[in-house]
Amino acid sequence: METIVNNEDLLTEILILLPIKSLLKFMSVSKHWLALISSYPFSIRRSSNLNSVGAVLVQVDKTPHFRLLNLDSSNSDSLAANFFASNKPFSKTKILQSCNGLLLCCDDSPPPKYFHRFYIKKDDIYTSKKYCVWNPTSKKYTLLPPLLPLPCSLRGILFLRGITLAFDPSKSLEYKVVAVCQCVLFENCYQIQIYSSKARTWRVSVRSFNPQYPVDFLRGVFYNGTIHWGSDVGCFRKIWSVSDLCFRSEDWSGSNLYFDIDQEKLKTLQMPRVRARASCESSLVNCFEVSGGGRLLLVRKYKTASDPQIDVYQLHRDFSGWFLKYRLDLPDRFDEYRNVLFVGSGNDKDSLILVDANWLSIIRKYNLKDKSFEGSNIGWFNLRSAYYSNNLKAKVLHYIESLACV
Amino acid sequence: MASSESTTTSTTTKVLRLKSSDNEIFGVEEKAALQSETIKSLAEDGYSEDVIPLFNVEKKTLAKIVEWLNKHASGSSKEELKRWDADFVDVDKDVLYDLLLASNYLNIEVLLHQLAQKVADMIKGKKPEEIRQLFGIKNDFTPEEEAEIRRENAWAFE
Repeated sequence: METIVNNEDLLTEILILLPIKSLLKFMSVSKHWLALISSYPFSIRRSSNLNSVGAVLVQVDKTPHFRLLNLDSSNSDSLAANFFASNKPFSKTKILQSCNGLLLCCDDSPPPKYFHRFYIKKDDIYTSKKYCVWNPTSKKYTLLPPLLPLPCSLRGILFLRGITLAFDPSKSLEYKVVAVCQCVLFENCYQIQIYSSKARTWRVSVRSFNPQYPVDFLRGVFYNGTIHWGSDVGCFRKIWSVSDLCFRSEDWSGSNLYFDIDQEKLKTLQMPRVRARASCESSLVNCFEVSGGGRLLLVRKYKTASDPQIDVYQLHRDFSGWFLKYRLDLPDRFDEYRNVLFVGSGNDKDSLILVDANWLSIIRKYNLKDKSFEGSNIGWFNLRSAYYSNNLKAKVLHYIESLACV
Repeated sequence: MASSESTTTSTTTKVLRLKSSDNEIFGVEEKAALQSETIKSLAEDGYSEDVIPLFNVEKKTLAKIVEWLNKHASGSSKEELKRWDADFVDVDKDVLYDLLLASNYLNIEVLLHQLAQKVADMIKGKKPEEIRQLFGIKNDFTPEEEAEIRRENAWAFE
């Protein structure tokens, strides 16, 4: 009997099968168990062994409330719905991004009075806001320190234009936060700062750059050591008003800006051409996968064509280009499903998670292989009654449990 | 099945002879035996002509393992295997631990996973104190340290 617990391989083999709640409890069994369960190899083994596809996390704009819906009905030991609300970092917590079990959040309470004149209503981001990285599973969070100021000689104020969390537990347990700031005095001057969970400080990475075309820094997508931003030349104005679209274009074909975190270099990526004479909405999605950092997908919804269609492109792992992965007719009443989330589970089965935008209440799973809805609705958020509004918008994120330290 | 010396002679299928730590010999068809990575590499190393010695597995455990190997090479339907496996791992604690160690040593991944799942199901609802008792683990935390860890993960104890 003792031989089993002294055999680390065997003990690992057993412990990786336990639900997260049991693991947190068993950390207090002994120093050996604590060290084993918190170790990096253990978390890797556990996440590659997980069959769980996680949960969908929804936060309705301008409200501090979250809803969580488990996609994995068999996993009954998982998170409870009120779980997030009961241990959030700020009284008004706004979730900006979800990345492999960690959430990037900010304090959504109104700015102090003296700051009002700097408050840019359009994108809801201003420099005085408090940001944190939160692991709701272990109920721990870390506040990020303020951004570094510009040198005195420039005497400018930096506005935060976008902030993105980069965390890939299959490579390292260290996470980074990449902030894109814009100098107020010199509007075309942008800067990139990086926060690392090891150093616990910000550091200037790219001192100054000037994008040649409008870039949507607000919705960075982390994929395989890089951060991707959508962009569009013709419709910059649209970006600031339609918060759930990355970009919109008539016949857009060009390159997107992305940031290589290890090399700390900005690069461009040629995007696939938009079909001729078609209007579409494009968005970038990191398709969640249990291991391997996911896949970067480009989703194009063609609206005005006679047969409404959706094109899904996938980026080659070596960034050499895109290939068309799916082209399918839009599911029934697709336009009403404004929020789209991709989930790839174990045997390379792709599902599209749809959240009904009109009612923000119904979640459906669409199987891309069979081109059909899987069973009935997998759940609903009863949000409409609580927050009645004609123009309800929400952030729909994918969430998995993680033991990662923040 | 657990008799000594090889049992099959009628067909051309090759039979491997496995020897337990207490010198009992089991004949197993090659197809069944090679589900174990350890036996596979021993067989490749030239042990296949004579007896393959398994120094870490006792007779009674090896008999169970051989039973499992044969069943999983018999071409039973998925449903039947599932039912059969559920019965197979439904044994008392000591047998379960012996099987775990043996399947780890013999490197039979599928069986190892089934057994590990069985142990995981057994312990998942338990308290830390019960785990210590079950596995004979000494609590090496000071009371302050233990309280601190428990406080940090308090919700897990709800």
